[in-house]
Amino acid sequence: MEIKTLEFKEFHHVSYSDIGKKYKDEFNSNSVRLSEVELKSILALIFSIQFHYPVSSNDQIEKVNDILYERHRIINLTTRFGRQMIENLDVVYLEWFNELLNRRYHLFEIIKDIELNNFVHLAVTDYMSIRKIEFGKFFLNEWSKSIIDTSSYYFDSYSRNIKKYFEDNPEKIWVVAEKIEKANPSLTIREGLLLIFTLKEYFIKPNNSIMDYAITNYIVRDNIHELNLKRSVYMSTIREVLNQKWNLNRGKGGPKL
Amino acid sequence: MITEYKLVEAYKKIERLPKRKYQVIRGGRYYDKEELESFIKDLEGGTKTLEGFRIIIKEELSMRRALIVLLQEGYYKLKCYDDVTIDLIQLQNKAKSRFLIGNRDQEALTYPERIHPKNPCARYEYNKTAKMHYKSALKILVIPINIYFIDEKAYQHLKIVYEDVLIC
Repeated sequence: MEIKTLEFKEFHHVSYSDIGKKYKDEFNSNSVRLSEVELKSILALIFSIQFHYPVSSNDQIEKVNDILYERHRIINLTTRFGRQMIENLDVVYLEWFNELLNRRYHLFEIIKDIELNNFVHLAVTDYMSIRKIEFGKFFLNEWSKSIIDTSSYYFDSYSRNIKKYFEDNPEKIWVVAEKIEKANPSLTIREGLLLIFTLKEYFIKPNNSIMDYAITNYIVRDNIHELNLKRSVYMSTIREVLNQKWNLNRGKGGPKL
Repeated sequence: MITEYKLVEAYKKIERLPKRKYQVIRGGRYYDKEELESFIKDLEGGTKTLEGFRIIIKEELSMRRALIVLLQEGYYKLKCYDDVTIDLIQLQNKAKSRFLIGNRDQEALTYPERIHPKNPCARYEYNKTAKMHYKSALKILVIPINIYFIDEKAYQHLKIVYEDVLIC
């Protein structure tokens, strides 16, 4: 039995708010039967909630609502990834999915529905033990778009310098760590590592980063709220890192002054 | 102390976690099972190092699956559960310390035979839905690789159980 990697597909997502508007007469009282796209959209949201907040508690309500109402682009990335897993469901789970599609749901409480949560856990969330590599890569690629500011006039030249630096010194990725630490000494190790992985993925795209991807998965899983809140801090740290000197030939040749 | 670690030092530690270079994904389409298994072992080997950076390496697993793992490891040699006393609360606590267990999918996990039956084909003969759920629960535990079992023999035994359930 082979394990395929996810085949990333185009999909149509319907937000929980839009589903609520469509069924507004039934929302608080009657049960409704959802379309396939609607159910898949809900399942992706449940996945995201389970992944980031596996144990439900009252103090998380706002954080869970950030996921449910898709308030932040970075937090929505997990839902998007979950949807890809749902689009790639194994045939064993499709049979179950089709049963779920034939049921009726109370929309008001659908996120807490035990059968749906059970399905998502078994068919999607538990599979993160394998998909963590794919998720880490997906996340780094997408979140780099939010924290690497490419609008600067000098960005292209900085980018060329950094790429050249690592082509010439592939074993010296730790230099990024040094520069991040210099740019923002108050970051935690965990945050610093995530920024190294981000820059590495963006500028070098090495083909042996699976450890980075797997670790990214755990950092993101347990800290998504904080990562979203501190987005501008990371952005300015990275801007500062790019602004630092990436001297290609320090100490080599050239006139001595 | 976490603060003793400097980022450079931390990154170098991470670079040293894989024992060799892995080709986990072949041709962009498939996972190489042996490579994935070895890689996951290296990652687990780094648990302590990563904990020092407050990164928690723990796999999410539904309570039913976690209990199947523990029941299998503890009692796979037995023909039935009647002769042993199994404290499910204790088993659930053990599951929580070994895996990341959520509480959003609570099923009625009331007794071992209901969680992980000794003769699943007979038990589910007239209950197709329950059999499908059981089959689904077993799948990731046995296929494709051993991620969850410490006891390899218990894992190999469960693979046989799974193959039986697929055809009965």
